[in-house]
Amino acid sequence: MLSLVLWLLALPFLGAIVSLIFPVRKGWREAVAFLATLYAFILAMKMVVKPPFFFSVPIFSPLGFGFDLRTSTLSSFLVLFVALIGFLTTIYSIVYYRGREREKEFYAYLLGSVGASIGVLLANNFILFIFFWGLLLLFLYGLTSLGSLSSASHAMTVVGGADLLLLLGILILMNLTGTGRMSGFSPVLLKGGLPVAAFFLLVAGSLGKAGAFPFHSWIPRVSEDVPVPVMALLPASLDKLLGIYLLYRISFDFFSLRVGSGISQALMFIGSLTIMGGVLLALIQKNFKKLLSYHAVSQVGYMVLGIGSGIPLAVAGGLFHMINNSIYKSSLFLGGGAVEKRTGTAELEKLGGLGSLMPVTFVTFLIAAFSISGIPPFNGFFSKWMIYQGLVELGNQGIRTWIIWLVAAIFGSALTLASFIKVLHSVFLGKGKDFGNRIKEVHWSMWLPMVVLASLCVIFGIFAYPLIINVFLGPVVSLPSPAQWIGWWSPTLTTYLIIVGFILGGIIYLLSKGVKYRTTGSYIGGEKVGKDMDFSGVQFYKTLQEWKNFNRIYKFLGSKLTDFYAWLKDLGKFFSRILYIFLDRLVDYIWQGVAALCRVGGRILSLLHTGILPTYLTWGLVGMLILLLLMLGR
Amino acid sequence: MNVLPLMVALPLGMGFLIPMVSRKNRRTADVLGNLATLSLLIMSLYLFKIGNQIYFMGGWKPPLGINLVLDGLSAFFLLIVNLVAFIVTLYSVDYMEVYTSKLRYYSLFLLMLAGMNGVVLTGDIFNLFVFLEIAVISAYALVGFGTEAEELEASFKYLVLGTVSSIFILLGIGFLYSLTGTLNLADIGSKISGISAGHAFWFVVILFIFGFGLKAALVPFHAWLPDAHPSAPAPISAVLSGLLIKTLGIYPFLRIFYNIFGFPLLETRFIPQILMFLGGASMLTGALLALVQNDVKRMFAYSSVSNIGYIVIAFSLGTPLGIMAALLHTFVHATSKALLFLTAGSLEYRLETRNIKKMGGLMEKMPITGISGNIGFLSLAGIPPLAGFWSKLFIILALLDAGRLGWAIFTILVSVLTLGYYLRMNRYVFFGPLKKNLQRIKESPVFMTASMLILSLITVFLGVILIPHLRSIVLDPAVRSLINGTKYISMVMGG
Amino acid sequence: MEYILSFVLLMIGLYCVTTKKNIVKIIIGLNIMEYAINLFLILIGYRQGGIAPIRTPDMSLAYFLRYSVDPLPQALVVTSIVIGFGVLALSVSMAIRIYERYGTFDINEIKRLKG
Repeated sequence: MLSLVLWLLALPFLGAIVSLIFPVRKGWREAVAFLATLYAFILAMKMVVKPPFFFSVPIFSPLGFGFDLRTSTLSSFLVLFVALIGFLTTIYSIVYYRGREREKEFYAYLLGSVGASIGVLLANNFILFIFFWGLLLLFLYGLTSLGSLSSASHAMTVVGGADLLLLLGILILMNLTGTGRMSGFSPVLLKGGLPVAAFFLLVAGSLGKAGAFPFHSWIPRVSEDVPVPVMALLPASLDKLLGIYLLYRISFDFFSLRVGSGISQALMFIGSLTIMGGVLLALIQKNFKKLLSYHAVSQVGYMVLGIGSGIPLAVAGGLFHMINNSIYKSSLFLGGGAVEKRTGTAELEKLGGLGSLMPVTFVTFLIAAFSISGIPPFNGFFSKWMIYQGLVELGNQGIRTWIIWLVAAIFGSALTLASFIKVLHSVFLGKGKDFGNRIKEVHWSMWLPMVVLASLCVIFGIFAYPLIINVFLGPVVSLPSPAQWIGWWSPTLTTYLIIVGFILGGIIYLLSKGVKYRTTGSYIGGEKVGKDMDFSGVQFYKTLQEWKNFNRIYKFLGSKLTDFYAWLKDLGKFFSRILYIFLDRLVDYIWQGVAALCRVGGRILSLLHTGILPTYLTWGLVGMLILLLLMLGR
Repeated sequence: MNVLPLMVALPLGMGFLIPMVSRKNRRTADVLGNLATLSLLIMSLYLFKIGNQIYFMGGWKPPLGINLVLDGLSAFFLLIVNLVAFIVTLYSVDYMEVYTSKLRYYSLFLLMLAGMNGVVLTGDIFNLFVFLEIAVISAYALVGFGTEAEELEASFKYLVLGTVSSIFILLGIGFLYSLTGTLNLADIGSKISGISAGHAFWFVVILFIFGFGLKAALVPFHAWLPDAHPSAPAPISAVLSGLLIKTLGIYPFLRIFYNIFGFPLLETRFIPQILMFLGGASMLTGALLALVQNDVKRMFAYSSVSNIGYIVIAFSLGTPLGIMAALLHTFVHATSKALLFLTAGSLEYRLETRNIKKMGGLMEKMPITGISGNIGFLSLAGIPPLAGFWSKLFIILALLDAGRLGWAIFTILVSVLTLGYYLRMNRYVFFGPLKKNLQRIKESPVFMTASMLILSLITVFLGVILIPHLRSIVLDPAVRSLINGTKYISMVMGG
Repeated sequence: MEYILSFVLLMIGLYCVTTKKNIVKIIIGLNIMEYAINLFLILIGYRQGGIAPIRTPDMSLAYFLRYSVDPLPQALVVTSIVIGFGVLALSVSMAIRIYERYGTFDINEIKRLKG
């Protein structure tokens, strides 16, 4: 077991070093990355079935610092997912990344971040933990710098700042518990200034990694120019897995979060804010990579909401949602990458009608989009449903605010669906844009990971309870049996119904085969569809604007309506501006302010260094004089 | 055979020998210089094996004669000094070709090295002063080695400020002598405890804080450093920033305050408090000033001011953990900062400019320089697995351990600033678009790249010093010799 | 009293170093400071009516110990003078070079390194 764990930890790093140094010949790097992640995945599967395991080598005992490893049901399950996503991303990248610059670094950083994530999950010592955590930051910087340096330093500052808070929190927590181990102490009560401060510092660190408000702004920023596999790997899945895993550990292992306490409410507030803020900002995006990344932010809200509520069912829902999110969000990003690879653009306005040209991408994207929008029977629905039930349970326990959080969660889900309808329409449906004959399905090595992830979406949706909840999450969160759930949702039954529906439809289709019909071009209102009728998903409001010209009889009413619309639009703009400043860029502005302050301070000090020797001498002598006076006055 | 006197005598003798024998063949100077520093490095490693030792010069027992004392702390500092010195001489083989007089360079360099080794080894306070002057006068000369206008200016400023501080140190030594009637460090220690801490004693302490503080470049005594360190040839900058400010500034602080004046002084809380404030001011001022510099070497110099602040804050805590963190950071900063100055030298060697705005995208053109520079700056910025992370972590832990939460948070915030200015430097120099006029830049010559690579490897793997086995050889004796304070006295006087 | 004299000398030197603009005067100031310290060191070991610390064969040990001045500070002063001489030589040669480069001895004009 020990060798298994150590191998699992070392393998990705070894792969990273090998792919950074050795292979110069074409294809070797990919082979190394492929084999390393494949083997890591196999090892992770072996580890999942093994019982929990402890391992410890003390290195610096006075500080409680040592090489402590630990596997638990939850962490080995998450390791499996990290390895899986890493493996799939590698397969995807083989074709996607071929021939791009800095290929060496790409694979090295990719493997490195898989290794660091596994390290974070296995570490059982705070210092070891922060070591891997910081390593991951380094690889994040490396990977984002493949896009552009300015966005990489943006990410580095925001995540690094959050990591710094985490470090502070860990230091205080180590002081409180008197040990460097991450287990084996009873949870600290959240009473008094220091524990609460430590709790919030740690939460800030975990939210920074997961990308919740207000630490989210780097995700949309980097999404624009970073290669898609990076987005699918880090912000979409690994960062979420680690951040929420840490949040779970903080809330229930390190501290004891009480249901209905102010801190729990604060967490739920952050969660709801993230859901709503993320999805509202996603709605107005015109670039689908950016749109997806705002959803990556929004989805974190559900996990924070679920875990923050403290109700076992919702906590399990939050953890399940974290796993589901990493599946469908990776799938979405990979699908987006496939579209971008073929069309060369990520702007919604320039895309359209790709559904028939890239059927596999379309279907997988559709499944993942349904999943993220919480449509049964896919996995996203199941986890959201658990969270909703948990929130209702919260209401039953007499916590009045439950309704706010529930409304936010459901409303957010609806808006998610709305924004994905826009994406689906603009990219895959709608009128095809003129791309020539270039567009065809991507290479199998690119669609295979998407298919695997999409089928996981379905499998996890249908067999959620027997496969995941009962086996992995049940033991962790002491869940009530399904009979006690408020609204037990049986996905199997529904699936049967859906399948029956499909069969019925098929029968009807087959029966109607004999009926005669003719084919004709599409038309609207008796007119053939021309170029002028072509619209993209982002242009919905254009029809409203053109309406006035279309029908002059209703000019008066029309003008009123457009005025009202304009007024509404301005109001909307105003709100989104406020939202942008106070939510989206708040942390950035604070950072910028502090940075400017530092620069001004540096400039002033720099001006003081005039280069005149007597001045320097005077500083020293005055300093000594002050010391002398202090000594006399002592 | 006793190697202790050799640590001083070898560089001293070689310093005089080199200009004499190698006038005909230029390579002789290179070979002899490197041989001298290499053998010093080997000897300093050997010293770890023999443990505590005292050498009586001319056979005079203390308190009469001058003696050389080797304990954990001296051995630790000797290792740092000679390690960096060896790599720097290796680097000089190619780098100093640009300058006209390599012979005088080696001569002065070895003199400075002899002075530093002497400061670390000696057991006599006036002897310490003499060695300190040998090192610092060679340093004045080396700073002005290029004899360009700026170099002379920097050298002269350094000379005036340095001489004033030396004079005050000498005044302090005079006071100490009149108080105790002896110059032997251990003897002073045994006699000073009997003397009630009157004004004269405190005056001595303040004089030493000024004198050694100026040598260590603590704010507000730091103003010479950002002029002097960048003006020297790159290998000398590396030695000045990496070694000189520590052996002439930090080491006497440690030795005199911990071993000689002992804990009664530290328990008054007055001196530690003052040192912590000076350290904090250095940290912040250095970091802020480094943020706005456009000259690579000047930025590194301000970063040295900042890092000295870290060391001073850590050791003035007086806890074992704080001292260990300070010593570790001393080591880390010595290697990392030397590496950075060597990198800066390599850039200057090829580009003939130090302005970061005129560089860009050099990672492709000078990969080894780029990697070394990145390792150095990541280490000092405190990025995990590199050595700098561990030392900063231990400094912060030590502060928390001593119950100084505010100072710990302050330290963390300053280390963010550190990260900020290194990222800025990195963006301008190694990444970003390649400037047009830099298309033809090549990597530096072999001796320079080789020495940078060696030093980068050391910087990367310096963290292993924390592994229990190595720690018990290298770090622990040094910490013990400071924590056990006045045991130093009984060791010297008893032996 | 003599101690005060050497302190006055030290302060004069310090005043000279800090306020004078001419670098030659600054060097002179440094030397005044050095000699103030040397004087101070000598005074530490001095005793009223003492003899030179050289024991001639016809001198009894008790007499020598009673009347001779402390020899150690004198040894220190000799070393200190040598060091002072080294610094003086270096600084003067540097002053000459600086004059070549800057064309002035005014320390306030020599300020190319700043910021």
